[in-house]
Amino acid sequence: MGRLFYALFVRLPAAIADGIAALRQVAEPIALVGILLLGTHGATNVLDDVVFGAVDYSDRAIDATAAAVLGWFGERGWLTASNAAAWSDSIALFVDIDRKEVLAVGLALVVELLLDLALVLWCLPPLAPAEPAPSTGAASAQTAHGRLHRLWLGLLRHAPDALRALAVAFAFVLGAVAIGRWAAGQAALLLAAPFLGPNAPGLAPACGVVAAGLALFAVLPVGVRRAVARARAMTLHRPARALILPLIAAAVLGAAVASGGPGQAVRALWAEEVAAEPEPSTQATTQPATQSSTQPKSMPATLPAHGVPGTSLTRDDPGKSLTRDGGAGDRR
Amino acid sequence: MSWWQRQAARVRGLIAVLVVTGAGLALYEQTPLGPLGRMAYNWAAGTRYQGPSPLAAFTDASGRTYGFLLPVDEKAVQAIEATVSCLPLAQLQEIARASEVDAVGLEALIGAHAQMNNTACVLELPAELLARTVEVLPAGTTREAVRSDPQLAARGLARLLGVEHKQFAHSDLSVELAVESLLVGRAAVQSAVAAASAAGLRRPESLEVHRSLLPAGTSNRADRALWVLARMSLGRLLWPAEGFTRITSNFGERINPVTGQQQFHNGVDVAMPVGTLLRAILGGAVARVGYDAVSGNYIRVSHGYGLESVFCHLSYVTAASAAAVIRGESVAQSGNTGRSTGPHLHFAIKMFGRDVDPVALYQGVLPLPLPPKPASAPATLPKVP
Repeated sequence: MGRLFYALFVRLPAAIADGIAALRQVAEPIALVGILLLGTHGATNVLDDVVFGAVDYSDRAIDATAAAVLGWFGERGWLTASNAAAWSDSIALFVDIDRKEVLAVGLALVVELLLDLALVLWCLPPLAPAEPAPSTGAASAQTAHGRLHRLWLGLLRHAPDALRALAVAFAFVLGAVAIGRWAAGQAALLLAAPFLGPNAPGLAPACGVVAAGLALFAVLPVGVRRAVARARAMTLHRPARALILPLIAAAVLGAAVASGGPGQAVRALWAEEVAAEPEPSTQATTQPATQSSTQPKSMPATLPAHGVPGTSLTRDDPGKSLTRDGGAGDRR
Repeated sequence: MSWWQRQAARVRGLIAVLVVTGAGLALYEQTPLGPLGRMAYNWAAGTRYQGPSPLAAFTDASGRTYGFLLPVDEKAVQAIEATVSCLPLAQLQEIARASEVDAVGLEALIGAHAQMNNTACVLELPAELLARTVEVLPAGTTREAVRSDPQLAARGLARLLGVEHKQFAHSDLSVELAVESLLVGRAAVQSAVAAASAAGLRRPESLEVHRSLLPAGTSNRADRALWVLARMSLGRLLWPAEGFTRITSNFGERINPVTGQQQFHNGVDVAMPVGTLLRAILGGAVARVGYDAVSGNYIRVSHGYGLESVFCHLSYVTAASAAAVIRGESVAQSGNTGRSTGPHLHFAIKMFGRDVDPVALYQGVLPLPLPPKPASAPATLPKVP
């Protein structure tokens, strides 16, 4: 009996703990990649806005160029004015404001996946020795390339290690925050179970903070060490790429920070929830005095039914208040 | 290795395994990699993927999921129309007043459950909700009677709504939570709100925010609740420019006044002078402010639950991107920018990413295109035997 007790409650837990400890060598790299991907998503959750800005700028430039070129064609008599306007309008409508939104979100997903890939590759073990330079190619291009390499190399030699692995470390922190938020939510779901009764307020957020701390403890030192090692190896073998990748990652993550997304995520972990905006019981409370100059007072109250006190329109008499003229098409 | 070192190694191993588990689950639930993984699995297994889009992990400037990514329940869309036909608004308001509940919420709730065909109007309540409705009605009321009599069902649902309303009286979104609670279940809603709050999410009491934290088996009911809440929003719409209601170009196919070609017009044009103040038709947050060659200066406001309003050709936008706006707040001034032949407002409304006719919405007509109805609907609805 004593031996059974010893085996069940001493040897078995010890064996399980040893097994888990042995798993650490496998688990840590996986955790590293997982947190890196979470962090990338935390940073790029506002990437759609950044991408939208790029798409919007390109679309406006294309529209303006097309309008100018077609207008010039019209002036030269190569196109009629109506045809030029129609073509210009078709080009402008090809990507309208709704399509731009869809396009921006789709491209944001692609960029996020590419960023995931770049950062994960960055954390892989150091590179093998570089391949020999190609024997063909213009001499001037090789010279320029060599000078550029020396420039990158010079810059990197002066860059501290922390800067080299900044993007990766930043992604780790955001990933830990994401895990903390997820853990806090799961803890709250668990604690809300009726059989547990009332629980102490703040317990679930505390679980989230602990989870975030554990995640950082588990992966940050290893991850940053690998990223720095990678940066040093690349500095020796592929100096241009060694600087470009962190710069791109830092630019994207920095843009995300500037637009407030990850900042909100970090603040939300610690702060109380933001109260929803109040909904006034009556309408139009903030219109300034200039309104009277733009709206004729003699206009009859012909507003639609909903939300307009004093009007008698109901659903039983549709079409009573709104007046239509010039409508060319059937509404349905 | 000393005893302490061995224990430290065990603890670090345990932490690493826990972190891997947490990271994996969080990746699966919170990032596009989860849906992408499931899509890949379904593709390999030869089955059809029916989960959320990978793009749903992104939110717009107002912090809400993009409207065009929210689920659309076609059956609920069709059922919403039945609100008008099954039960006149005046009767519904009278029942709501007698029960001291929100008439708009009650109307939306019934609308989502009403199923209309050419000869009868039947309220299709879920079995659990039907049983609860029967319980609060006078003794002797049968389930068949509730299903076939919209007024009886409305009275029962009004009482239930009142009960749930009191449970969430502490919240600004008490009516919305009460409606959701009737459809999804009170315990599930309370747990999800608590979890969203603990995770530090903004507006945890909004269904859009805590939807992913509802129990797995409630997905369909949560979709329906989303529709009911969207329908509720429609009952509180304000017209964007007080005093200016002359429609110069309708929603639908039309001849473009600039190009002379036939094109789809995704909103209505309202005649008004430059500088007219425009107000938010509902509370919400500014999802986008920008300029476009065709639309001119424009503002897009997200009102939640898949409802968005867009004002175009503006002279000036007063609200900033991502700013919260309250219902009736001035957000812009009308103008004549972009492709425009004269001062006017292009006013568009989107539900779940679809263009809908704003005039039809304001007149209480069905929100989305539906199959044609018979010309003469029966004045009094026949009872189902």
